[in-house]
Amino acid sequence: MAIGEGFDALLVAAQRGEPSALGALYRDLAPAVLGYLRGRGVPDPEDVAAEAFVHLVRSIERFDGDEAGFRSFVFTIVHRRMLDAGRRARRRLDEPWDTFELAPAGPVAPAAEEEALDSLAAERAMRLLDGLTDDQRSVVLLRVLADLPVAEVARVLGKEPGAVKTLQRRALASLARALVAEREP
Amino acid sequence: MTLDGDPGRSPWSPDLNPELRGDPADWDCLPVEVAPEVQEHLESTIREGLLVEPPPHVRERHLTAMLAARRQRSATPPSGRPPASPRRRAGRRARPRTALAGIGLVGGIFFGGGLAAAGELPPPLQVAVASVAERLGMELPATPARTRTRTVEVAVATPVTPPVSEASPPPAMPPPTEAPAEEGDRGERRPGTTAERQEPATTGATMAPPLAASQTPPSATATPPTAATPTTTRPSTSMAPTTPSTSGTTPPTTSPGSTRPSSSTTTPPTTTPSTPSTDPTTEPPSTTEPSTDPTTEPPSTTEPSTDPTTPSTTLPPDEDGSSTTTTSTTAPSMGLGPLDVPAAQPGPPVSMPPAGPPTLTIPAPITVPPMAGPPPSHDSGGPAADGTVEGQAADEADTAADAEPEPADVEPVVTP
Repeated sequence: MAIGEGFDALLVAAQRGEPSALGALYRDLAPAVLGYLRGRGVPDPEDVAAEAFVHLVRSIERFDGDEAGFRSFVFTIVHRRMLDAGRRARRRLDEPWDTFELAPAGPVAPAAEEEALDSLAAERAMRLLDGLTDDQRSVVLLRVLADLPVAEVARVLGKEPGAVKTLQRRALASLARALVAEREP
Repeated sequence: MTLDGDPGRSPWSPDLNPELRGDPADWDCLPVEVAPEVQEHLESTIREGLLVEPPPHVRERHLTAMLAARRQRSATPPSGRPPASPRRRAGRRARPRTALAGIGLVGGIFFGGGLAAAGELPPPLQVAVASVAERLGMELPATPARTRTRTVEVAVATPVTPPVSEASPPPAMPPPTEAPAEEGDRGERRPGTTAERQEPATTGATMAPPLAASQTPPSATATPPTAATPTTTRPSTSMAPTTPSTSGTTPPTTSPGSTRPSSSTTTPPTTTPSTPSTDPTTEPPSTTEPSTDPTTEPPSTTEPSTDPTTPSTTLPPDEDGSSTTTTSTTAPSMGLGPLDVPAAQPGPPVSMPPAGPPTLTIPAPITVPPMAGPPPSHDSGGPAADGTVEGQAADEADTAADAEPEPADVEPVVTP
């Protein structure tokens, strides 16, 4: 999950453009990025993840910090790319019916849904997250999947740390109720 | 606290807020603390369900896109800007040309406008521009500036130039019949007089024959120009309006100084030393005589004489604008004769005002009458005893001309 002590050398190599360093960073970040996008219900998480990683390669030279900061930096890019994808999807939905094929209904794309539903854990996770709002889901995913502290989550989402704490508390309460309801027959 | 005054009834009763019934812990606005083990279970469930390694084909696609972006970034300049498209590069190249063309256009407009305002454009173009500007409410000179500038030069140069006739006493004068006729076109005839005076200056008073020969005005009485018809064949007749109402006794507005340059063209400076030697106060002729440029005087001095006896207006102009035939008649009246006036020549003593504005350098025997009284030659209208009377008359005319302020600018008269 975390790179650890070799992060600085890996970051320098990635900033020089070495493919191995970029591949290492991708392997470390890709599961969390894809999980965040799937948990947020992005219709096509792989395309959005590709856009986010391409943008990361273009802007990695400007980054200067530690691993936590780098993860915050990466998820900031992912979050913004996700918002852009949502805007594009909404614009597409505003197109006339006869000229544009509507996206399939549902929070998860069929391909991602198939992959998620391959395992029971994925199915359960998605079922739990369905009862959360967007902000609550973002806070939980960033806190759980990206291992970001409250301050970094607040920075990624553009909110105050207190608001992030409140969102996290309510999200956990909702998840607990959903878990209790899941156990009840 | 009650709503209807009943102390035993709560405001949150089911009757008032049925939607709020139930456990308050279920309300989203009152989150409860989740047990740590429940929280751990939830986090593990989310991680197991969402933290999944991407499929190989997705990974390969992502890495390919990242490397492509990396290569593209290394190819771009360090400023981070994407390489400009050919269309944009063409636009950048066309920008300086467009700017230069714009600057040239604006400069041409300003330059042309300036020339049009100054009247320096060619005549047809100037007229066209003036007509267009007049439609737009602007006033631009419709005539070429050369005519106007020449007239203005003469008008300005007139009061500045010192009177030349004062440098030397009037010489032997022509017959008195021509004395009144001289003043209308004195400036025009001066060159001829000066040219002819040069010889007498060296030889003495031998100037009379050429003067007398030229003084025969052929059409002095035949063409009586009036103030209403001052136009002549030359554009330089713009001076005419300045002396429209001059009679035979009125001095012309043209000062001798303005006409002096023409006369000096033929007058070598060596002819004058004879006269100043007699009087120490006499100005040296070399200083009084202006430049020898012949082009300056003739067109400007050809003013229509208001005197009916003046024949100069009837004569056609020459190529260079100088009229040699008419100058001879007015030469005696211009007072340029003092060059050839011998000191011992007997003549009527003319008293000269000592405190006159112009410093007249007249030989000792010559006395100029006071300015108040008309010159004897004018009064009598007959011939003077010698040229000194006419020279004095010219001086008086000059003095009067100096006293009266001339108009600064003269209306140009354009002859078709």
